[in-house]
This record gives sequence, structure tokens and C-alpha cells, in this order.
Amino acid sequence: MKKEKITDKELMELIQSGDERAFTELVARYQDRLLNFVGRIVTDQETAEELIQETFLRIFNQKHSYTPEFAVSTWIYTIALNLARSELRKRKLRRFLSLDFLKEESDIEIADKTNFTGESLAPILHKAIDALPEDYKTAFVLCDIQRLPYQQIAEILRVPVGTVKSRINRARAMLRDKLKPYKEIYYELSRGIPQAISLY
Amino acid sequence: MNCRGVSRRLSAFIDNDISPGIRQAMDEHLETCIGCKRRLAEFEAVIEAAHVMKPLALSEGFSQRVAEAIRARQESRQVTGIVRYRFSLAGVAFVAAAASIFFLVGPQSNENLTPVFTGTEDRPVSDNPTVTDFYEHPETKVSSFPIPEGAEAARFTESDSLPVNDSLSRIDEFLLPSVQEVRENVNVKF
Repeated sequence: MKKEKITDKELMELIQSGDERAFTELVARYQDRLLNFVGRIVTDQETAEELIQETFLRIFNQKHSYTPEFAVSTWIYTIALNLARSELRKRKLRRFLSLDFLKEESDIEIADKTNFTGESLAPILHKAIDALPEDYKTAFVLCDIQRLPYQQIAEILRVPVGTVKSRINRARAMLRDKLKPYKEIYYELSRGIPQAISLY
Repeated sequence: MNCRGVSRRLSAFIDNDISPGIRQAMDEHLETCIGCKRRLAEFEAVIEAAHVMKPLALSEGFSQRVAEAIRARQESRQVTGIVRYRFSLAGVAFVAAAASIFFLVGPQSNENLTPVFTGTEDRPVSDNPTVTDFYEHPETKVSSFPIPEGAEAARFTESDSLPVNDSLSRIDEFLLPSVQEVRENVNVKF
């Protein structure tokens, strides 16, 4: 199979006709993307992998329900998002029942603000993204981490494009406010210092 | 354009999602306004930080686990399908068996009628009892109750295939000898 030539839609057609190798190829194409999407939403790697596994199971079992009017990626992201949302709902209920919502979360402190490195921003940004309201977080992750176009984000979230732009704008503004105490980092980053920020 | 208008459009400005005219207005404002310029830099820094976040990595063997999960799900569906098929077969077999038993042992026909009564010495049951015999026999006659005063007794002719409903005579015929003796005793007393 010539990976560089076959499109996602052609791959889906092969999967629908029963080609298991095509399905393996689809898993390889999307597993990392989905991890970086679902992982940012549920913020737990193990849970994210379980959800992605379930996503692929559903893709396999419901392969005939895919219609070419939507991009394959849109369909896949939609399934993954629905599973992630279900997980978040369950967590809210568990958290409520265990009274954990009464505990206050503390902010992460940077140990040494004078000797800043790009890596120290990672946990702060990660926590700040996690603290966003679910709708804003999803839009922000799809736009600024997954780098999807507005139109596709609108199809995945099933909202108008204007709503997508509004949510992204609000998410960015909230993150900016959250990270304001570390504004010297902004100036480092905005000067184009290309340091990869490690999360772990 | 004022600061408020620029702030609202910062995200679209960064994403190049605004018209050329608005872009020009914003450029002109940003050249002179340090506050908006700083806000723009903060927005860009947030986006850049998100872009350079180290991607998450899947744990080893993820693809194999997906393949195994799909195989397991397919096998369980096959087992479920077999179980359902067998249950449906069992159900059909049960219904067929019940129907067979019903038709074989079910309501008794006239030809296979087994007398449930033995009759009395003076009124033995015939080998081939008919409907009339059934109504006439003292053990199987429908019990008659005394007809209320002023009411007429129902009279049935032979053409109606029903016995004459003479309650007084039927009571005597219906009651067993021992009970008749009791009745006589009652009549004597009262």
C-alpha cells in the first residue's frame, strides 16, 4: 500500500470493504493526533489511551455509518470528542459525590523565576489549559494544538464558525490572564526562542 | 479604531481572519498604542507556547492492544450471536413441543371420551354417551334451583336438544338416595 498516495477517504472505502490492513493504516495515521487531542481534554494519559482505543473500536464497528460528505478526520475527532465528554461527565459526578469539588486547587509555583527556562512554563500552561471551561478548552486544543481550520472545528463541535472563533478568542484571553504573572516568559517566547516545552 | 475594537479582534488578527480594511486599521493603531501592542504580544506568546508544547507519546504496544481489542470484540459478538441463535432454536423447539402435547393430549373429542362418572346401579353409563345422556344422568345433570314464585319455568322442547327444565322433578332425580331420605325427613319435620 502506497501510504503517501492514498487519501483518508480511499482508506475508509477499503476499510468498509473489509480490508484490515487499511484499518491498521488508519490507526497509525490518527493515534498520535488523537492522543494529543483527547489527552489535553481529559489530562490523563492512561484514560486518554483507553478512550482512543474505544474510538478505534467504534470506527471499526461502525465503519459503514461513515458517509463521504464529511472528512474522515472530522468523523474520527467527533467520535473521540464524544467519548472524552462522557468521561468528563462521569468525572464530574464522581468528584461531586466524593466532595472533592470542595478542595481548592493551588497554583503551580515556579521554583526559580530568575533562572527561567522554557521548560518551566510547561506545567503552568498545561494546568491553565486544563482549567479552561470545557467548550473553550476543546476549541483551543483543536485550533492551537491540533491546528485544524475553523470550518472543520465547527463541524466537529457542531456549532457555527462564528461560535468557534468566539470560543478560541475567549480561551486565548483567559490563558493570557492566567499566565500574566509569568510575563517575562512571554517576551522570551515572543522573541522566537524555539524551545520545545516538555510537559513531563 | 480604538483599543476596545483592537482587543476584540486580536485573535482574528493573529489568525489572519479579518478583512484587509480592518487589518490596516489595526496596524495603524498598533503602531501608536503600547498597551494593545503588549496585549498582542501576550496573545501571540500563548499561541506559540501551545504550538511548541511537547506532543504526548503513546505507550508501547498501543497498536497491538487496539488490534487485540477488536479481535476480542468480534469474538464476543460471535459468541453472543451463537447464544442468541441457540436460544431462538430452543424457543422454537419448546413451542413446537408444547403444541404437539396440546394436540395429542388436549381437549377430549367425543370419540375418545372417557367417562368421568361411573353412574349408579339403576342408571349405568352407556358405552357411547350422547349429549342427551349427559344432561339426563343424575350425576351430570345441571342442578336446578327452585323457580321463584310467579316466574315461569323454562321449557325446552326436544327439538331444541335441551332437556325439559322441570325443577321439582329434576331435584328428585338429581339428589342421591341418601339425600332424598334427608329431604323426606325435613318435609316430615316442617
